[in-house]
Amino acid sequence: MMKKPRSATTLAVTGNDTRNGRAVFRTPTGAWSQDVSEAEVAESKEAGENLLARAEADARQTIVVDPYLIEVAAEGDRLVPTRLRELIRVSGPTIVEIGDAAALSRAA
Amino acid sequence: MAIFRNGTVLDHDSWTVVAAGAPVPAEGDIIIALADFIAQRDALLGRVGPVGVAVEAGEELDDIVGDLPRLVLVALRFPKYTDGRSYSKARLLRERHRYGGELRAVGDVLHDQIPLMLRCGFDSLEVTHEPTLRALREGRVRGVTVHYQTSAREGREAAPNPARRWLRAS
Amino acid sequence: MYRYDEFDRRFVEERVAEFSDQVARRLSGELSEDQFKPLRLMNGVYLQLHAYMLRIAIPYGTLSSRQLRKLAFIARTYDRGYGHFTTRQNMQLNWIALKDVPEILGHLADVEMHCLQTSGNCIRNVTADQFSGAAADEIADPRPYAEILRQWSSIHPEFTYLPRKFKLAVTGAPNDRAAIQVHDIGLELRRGEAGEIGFAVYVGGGQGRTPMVARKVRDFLPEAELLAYCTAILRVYNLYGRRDNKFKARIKILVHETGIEELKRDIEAEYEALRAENETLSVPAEEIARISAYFAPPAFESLPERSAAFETALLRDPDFARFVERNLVRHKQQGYAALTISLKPIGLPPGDASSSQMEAIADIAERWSFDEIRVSHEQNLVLPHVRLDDVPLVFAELQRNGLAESNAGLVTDIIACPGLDYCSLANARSIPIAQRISERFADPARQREIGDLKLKISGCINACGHHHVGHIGILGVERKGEEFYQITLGGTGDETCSIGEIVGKGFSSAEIVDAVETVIDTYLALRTGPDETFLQAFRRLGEAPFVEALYPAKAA
Repeated sequence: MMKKPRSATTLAVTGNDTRNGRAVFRTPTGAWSQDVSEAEVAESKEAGENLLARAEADARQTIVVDPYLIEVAAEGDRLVPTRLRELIRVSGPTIVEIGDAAALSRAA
Repeated sequence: MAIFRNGTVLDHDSWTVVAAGAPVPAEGDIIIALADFIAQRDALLGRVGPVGVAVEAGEELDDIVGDLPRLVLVALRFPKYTDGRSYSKARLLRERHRYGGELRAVGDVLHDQIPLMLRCGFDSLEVTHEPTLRALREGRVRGVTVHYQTSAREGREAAPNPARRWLRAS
Repeated sequence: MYRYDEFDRRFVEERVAEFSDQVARRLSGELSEDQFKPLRLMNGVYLQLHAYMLRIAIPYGTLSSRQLRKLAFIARTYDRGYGHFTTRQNMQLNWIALKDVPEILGHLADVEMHCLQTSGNCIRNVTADQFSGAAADEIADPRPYAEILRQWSSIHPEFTYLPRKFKLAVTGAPNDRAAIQVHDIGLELRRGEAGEIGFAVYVGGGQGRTPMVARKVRDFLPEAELLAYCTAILRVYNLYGRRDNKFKARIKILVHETGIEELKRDIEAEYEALRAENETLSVPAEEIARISAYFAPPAFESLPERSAAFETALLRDPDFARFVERNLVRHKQQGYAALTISLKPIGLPPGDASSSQMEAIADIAERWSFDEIRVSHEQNLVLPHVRLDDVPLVFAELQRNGLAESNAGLVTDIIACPGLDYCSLANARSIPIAQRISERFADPARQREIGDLKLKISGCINACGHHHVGHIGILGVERKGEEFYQITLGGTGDETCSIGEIVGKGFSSAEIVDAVETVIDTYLALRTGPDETFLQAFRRLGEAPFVEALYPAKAA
């Protein structure tokens, strides 16, 4: 039986939307989504590099800024970034924001 | 590549850049690297055709200051447009050493830095970036035209309010 | 306050047009991100974790009510209804869309504001004492000089692509509340032998990964020479500052590597040459007078030294008495006081204010503080000129808006950078640590017992939270994917400026609040009495007793 290599990682590619700056993830259709669970994943280093190359082409087309690979883990049917930094990019600040309620709910 | 000089984009340039260490042609307008100029100074200054010197961002002006009246062109390099040393050197050439020849910006010369270069005393620009060339041709490179400082363009900028002595408008 | 004339207005309008054109060229693809980044930074636009961040300049931390209302409007309309006041007296918004920035700049221009040079490798917003024009210990108001410097540095043709960022701060009082010795240039207003105004000039201070206290290069620079001398410093720096390594590019490294005496000679030689060739660098007395007139004291009433209303409230209301004890600063004008509005409520993010709070403060300032608000580098707001008679009314109004925390200068008045909750450079979170520390020390009696204590937290080595100059500094680091926090002790940014010393290995997020408490309990146990502040005690005792308390195993 083949053992899964210990360092096996699942990768997705992220960047920021050029127009509004929001954290986005490249999906299998080539679109970019704010929902990490819609991201295309790569299971090998080579597949990751390939994914990143496509993202960099999008960056040259001014769609996203500074794309890079992140590690994600599947949790049920969701994808969750493994690093805290990326988790915060996905789920927002870990603190209470004191903005006025209307503005907070509108611009989430 | 094209040269922007006196408000116009010129597709032809009379100057030939001599590669570092390469033999100097007997005729024609040449731009020579600072180190080569120092090494062959006497021969170059005795030459018939005009001589220009190219100064890298990290090089000092000391070795050409005495020869400035005989240099028809000085080229200051911007290795990256974020490297601002050549702005200071341009002002030193114009305002301290009273250099009156052509002062050319070469290297990473882009749209948004051109207004600053002109104020620091450059009067010609070697431009390779296509969108910048387009903007120059179309007269879209303006920047902010009112200034809170005097510049190397004294006499060519208006002083709109004598009570605020350093205000200028280009 | 400074008011724009036609020239200033045209400058800002043209600048809005220039940046709008840059944004359009970026969105059209004409500018690559590499080409655009320095341009957007020059306009205060960062790309952070969640979105673009916009940093709005508040020159020397002075705002009118109208301007503060405009900030509230922008935060509500284009962002999430709050703003974050920074240690450089600016305000930043965390959720801005790039396409909206030109419109926002238009709104700011309407109230004579901009975002120019709030980031980038250029001369940044000039900061000053938040109590300028109000403090009893002031020699002269630093703001006219800060305004002259602001104008001189705006789109300076020679100094817009420096090796690294360049920060100036001016203090008008011997008690330095502007932290001038951790700035690239620090200016301290002084009077000469004949009573004339001038500056002590400090160069090469800074925090970041190589913190350094500035060195004095001039004991007394006549005020007229301000621009010539600063131009000389900047030119020497622009030509010789390192560009090979961004971490060694600040002027402090040039000072360190060249040696202060040699650098001083270079600056002086450049200064003499500049004076000879450019007379417009000399600031005429009339121009100083013209600018100073904008900052003339407001129409103060002639009031008695004591106020019955004030003293009655002091006796009746212990909350008010606590507020006065910590948040009221003695004013140079009899019968008036300056009040700190703490943006450090227990358990909430330091330095944040909601749009409705900003509007409430704008109303209060309009009614009771000659229409003026200040931003302090400690991330609080200040009402600079309040009649003692009115202080009880102002306090009540602040209470109603959740703005009456009486903790100015206490352990819960924490400076914290945005940290990993917002910042793309951060290694660890800062705000949650600040919140938990503030909750631990929430008891007003306990805070008062501890007394003056500056606690400052940075989420990475860039030190935006000023941890190097915290009496207690906390630096967040990442180790194997976990957040850890190092403690430094004994730093201060005041006129006795010193850089804090790292006491030992870092603490986990779970341990750090206990560690801070250990440090404070050690101080309380060892101080000679309540009059000996934390910093004084640390300077007397050294780090040893604190290290022993923090790392008992090591000591055993």
